[in-house]
Amino acid sequence: MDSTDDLCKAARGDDAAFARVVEAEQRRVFGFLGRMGLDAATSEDIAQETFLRLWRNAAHFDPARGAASTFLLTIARNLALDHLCAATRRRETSDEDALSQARCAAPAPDAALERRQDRARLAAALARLAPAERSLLAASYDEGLDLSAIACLEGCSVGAAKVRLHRARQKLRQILETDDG
Amino acid sequence: MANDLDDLFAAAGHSPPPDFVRRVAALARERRQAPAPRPLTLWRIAALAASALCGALLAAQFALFAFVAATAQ
Repeated sequence: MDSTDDLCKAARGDDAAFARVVEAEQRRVFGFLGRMGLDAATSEDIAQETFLRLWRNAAHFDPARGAASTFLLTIARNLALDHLCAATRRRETSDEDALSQARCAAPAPDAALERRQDRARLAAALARLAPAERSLLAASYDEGLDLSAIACLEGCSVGAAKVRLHRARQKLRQILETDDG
Repeated sequence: MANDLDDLFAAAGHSPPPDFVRRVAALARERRQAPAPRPLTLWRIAALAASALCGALLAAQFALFAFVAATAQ
């Protein structure tokens, strides 16, 4: 369900409507941040900041320019990119550490462990992509976003988004194959 | 282990903690909202245009003085 109406009410100071927006959109934001290769704790921090900025800037939301979810994911994307750029500057290697930890873990045929290994593997592969490519891929796996919404989120044309997405997918596939091989 | 990109991305998302909505709503209640952006009225456009004109005249005056000073030498 779209949160546009509730966000318009939240812009007029209705905190109950804002709580409904958070309830409706929290899974989408956490999913997006996870698909960008961020760990659970970082995703939670960024998601919280995203919703607080949404509350603060709700009056700037214009339903004519896009859906509430696009407005919200634009905030989440910008915060995640800031975090990734700062992390790159600090030369963090937590993703690689996570991958090596996942590989060293006991090979129990456990679904949760497998899921953790997959997540670490993807995070390590995503760490080798540019932050903008990560956000593009993360947005492309959001079921509620079509290509024009993704283009709006990334600030480019639909054609450019399509080409960049194709290239990012190819690059990620190559990285994963290299890691496996 | 999953090999398909779709499977990998499907498993990558995190779940929000159970008290997330309550916590964020409580934090939001403590914070003020930014005022709505003011629409660009005719009066504001006129004020902006007048300011820009004054700035341009001031810059032209400086340029003229600099030119006169340079030619006088």
